[in-house]
Amino acid sequence: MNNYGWRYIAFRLAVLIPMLIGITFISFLLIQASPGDPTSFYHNPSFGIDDLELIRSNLGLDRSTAYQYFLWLKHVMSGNLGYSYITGRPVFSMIVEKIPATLVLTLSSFFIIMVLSVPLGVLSAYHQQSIWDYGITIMSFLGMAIPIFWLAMICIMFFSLKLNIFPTSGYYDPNIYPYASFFSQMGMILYHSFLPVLSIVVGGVASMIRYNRASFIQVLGSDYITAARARGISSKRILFVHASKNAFISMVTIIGLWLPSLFGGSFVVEYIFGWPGLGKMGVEAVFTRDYPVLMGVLLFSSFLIVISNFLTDLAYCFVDPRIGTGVCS
Amino acid sequence: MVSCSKKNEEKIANSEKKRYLNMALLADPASLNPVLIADVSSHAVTSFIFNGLFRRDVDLKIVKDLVKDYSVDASGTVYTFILKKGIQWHDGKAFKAKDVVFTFQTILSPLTNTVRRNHFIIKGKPVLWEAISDYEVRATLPSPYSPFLELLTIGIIPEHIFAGKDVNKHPNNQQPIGTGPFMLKEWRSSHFLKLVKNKNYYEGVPLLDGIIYKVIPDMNTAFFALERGEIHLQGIPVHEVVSRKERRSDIKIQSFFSLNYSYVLFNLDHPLLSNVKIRRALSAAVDRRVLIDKVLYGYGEAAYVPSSILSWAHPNASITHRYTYEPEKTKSLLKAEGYRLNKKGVFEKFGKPLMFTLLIPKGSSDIKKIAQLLQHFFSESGIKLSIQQHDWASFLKILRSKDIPRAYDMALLGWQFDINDPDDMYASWHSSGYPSGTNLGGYKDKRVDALLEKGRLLLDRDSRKKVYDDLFTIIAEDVPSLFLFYPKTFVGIHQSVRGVTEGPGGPLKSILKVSFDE
Repeated sequence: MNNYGWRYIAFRLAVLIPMLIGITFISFLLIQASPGDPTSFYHNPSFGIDDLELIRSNLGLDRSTAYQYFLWLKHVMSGNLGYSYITGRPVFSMIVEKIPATLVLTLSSFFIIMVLSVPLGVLSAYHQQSIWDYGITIMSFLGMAIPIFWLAMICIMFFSLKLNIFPTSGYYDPNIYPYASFFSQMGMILYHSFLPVLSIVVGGVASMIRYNRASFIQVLGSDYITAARARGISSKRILFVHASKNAFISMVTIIGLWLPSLFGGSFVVEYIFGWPGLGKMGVEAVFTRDYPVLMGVLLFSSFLIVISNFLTDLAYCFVDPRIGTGVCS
Repeated sequence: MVSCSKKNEEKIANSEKKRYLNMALLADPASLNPVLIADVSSHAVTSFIFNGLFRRDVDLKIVKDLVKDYSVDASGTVYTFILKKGIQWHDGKAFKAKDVVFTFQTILSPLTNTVRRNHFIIKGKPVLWEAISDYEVRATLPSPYSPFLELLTIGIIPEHIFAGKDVNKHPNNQQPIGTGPFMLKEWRSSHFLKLVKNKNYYEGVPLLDGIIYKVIPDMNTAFFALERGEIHLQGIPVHEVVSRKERRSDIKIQSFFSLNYSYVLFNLDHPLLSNVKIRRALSAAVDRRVLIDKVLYGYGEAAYVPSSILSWAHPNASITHRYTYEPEKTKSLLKAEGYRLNKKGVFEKFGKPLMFTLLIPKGSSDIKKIAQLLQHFFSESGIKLSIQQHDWASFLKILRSKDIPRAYDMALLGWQFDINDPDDMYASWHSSGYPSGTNLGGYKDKRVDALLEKGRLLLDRDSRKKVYDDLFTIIAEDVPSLFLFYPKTFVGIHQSVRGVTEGPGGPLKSILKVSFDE
């Protein structure tokens, strides 16, 4: 990598900071604008309004939104994400302890989605308008149309209750986990992750097949492929060497945009399966208006989005050096 | 992998003999400090970790817990409590009178984020707590207050842990030290909490090795987990109770009345709802029997006053059943108020149709069903009702808004009493509770105020019963809200669980005796 490349990376990294500040500020405004505040988590209307006022002022919620935001920002700058209004625990450690469970879910779904959707997309594109293509297309439209929460429920009813082979919920079984060996612990987590992963994968594979199919069809129709065919190059070589590299460019874009939403998409699944990940914590924080936790989760996920955009841009130049960052030359 | 994993789990489970009672929580507990908590999950967990001076038995009667004996002086204002000796905190320190005093002083401190402070402020003055000796505590009340003992079920926290520190952010709110039959062993936030038995518990060692609470936010999933035996005990919605009757299963179902009722709150600042005759007309338009059949599948009783079937003060039907379902009465009451039916079959006056908006919280299909039935009943009687849904936070914001008059006509609510005593009505029906208290509708009646004030001063139950009968008579006549029904609660319990109690206090009231089939 040349000097210009490093400068480009440094510049892109430096831009991340104002970007994150902008995202968090707008999020903070939106959160504050939504009705209710953390004291509405005291669900019981029989609690005194005066006491709630007192708690509100103890939490600093009677100050202006701008003041609250800058206080939050100041603490974040010094590495303190604050304390949950509800549990009083430090937000940072709450997030860190949720990351492994979220990663298990997201990465294994991502891996399975890629493994399944690329070959199926290629198959569908290469045998365009064949019985294969129609079959795969119908299945993928079906997969995209099924709401994830409904699919999750059906999975539990079928696999857990009817067939009785998978647990309904949880990350592992706390009754026996401490007595199991390391490998059976890992096995237990995978076993518990089967249904949540399945629920995520169905929709993910379905939509990725569509993207992959489209980008391959576009590439396969271009002139240089026709030229390669004319030169008598084998279909295999055309598909896997000539076409795939260009088809991957648009796939990288899609993956970059879609990877963070895989985190977001797992919110619902985590909630239904009682999976102790970031998503479930985020949803709970929304319901309880636990601002510090919500801001922490938002900061973390916007960081992921910004970073994955950045990595996507870098990935382009490895797939296609012509894309003008000059980083790889 | 699947079958191997499953077998493996079964193998480990068998070798470890399941001795943990598994239950579900819909959310992580907010805190495990009984002084701070306000949510259901925290209540459930802390009840096994801490003890109060008193506790409620399975019939919700107050019985002694940490207290060995107590006395009240003739004026009814000075209580002396003798504490049990030899009780230890989970860290081995002795439980003493200073812990009791510290707990109540913490609740009274304005720096503590607690919703229980107003329980211990009577006529604007705090209850005074003093330790007379290591095992003797004196509470001096500003004036007699008959349900006082009912408030003393709150868990006592250790002074040696919390003294001099910020109780709101104290790390021991997550690692509780109590005196109760179980101790917290492990808490994986959003995943589970594991409690293990306290071998030094003052009433004996529990038969269970521990309790595991699994955090399962989705009600349906929790119910499936009960079906599959992953959890042993779980509240069940009534429609599941009905639909599972035909199914064979390993689950026994208990049902009981609780300290709750469902009602439509009237905004009494509303120009029409401030008119008692219109309120009576609305009450007579609602067929509560149909509501109970359609929504609760028959598992409930009609309500006309803010009480509970379980209460000793619950009045009999001759007092309460004043404005029962009588559509003709609704019509005659409205006609007497100058309303006439228009061509569309809706009552109107000066060309304005009689219509209201009902506010309901989002989330439950039962709530929506109730709202739609009310809409139906009202329209049968020529009254228009539109329904407006809000999420819970915004719903409460409207009901507790500081702008008076508040911007709603009616709201569908459930009310849960904190204590099993009619004085629990004080905060929500005494005029002093409006607008800053919990008298949400703004009910003001001098006779009711006087009776509520009198009821808490009398110590003798028979004379109190008379006072509350008078009060319920006024409320039944006045219809300050549209009371609907007292619903039953259902709990599903796995067959293998032994030693459960049956009654409104719930199945785990003798937790020391709970065990599993061998």
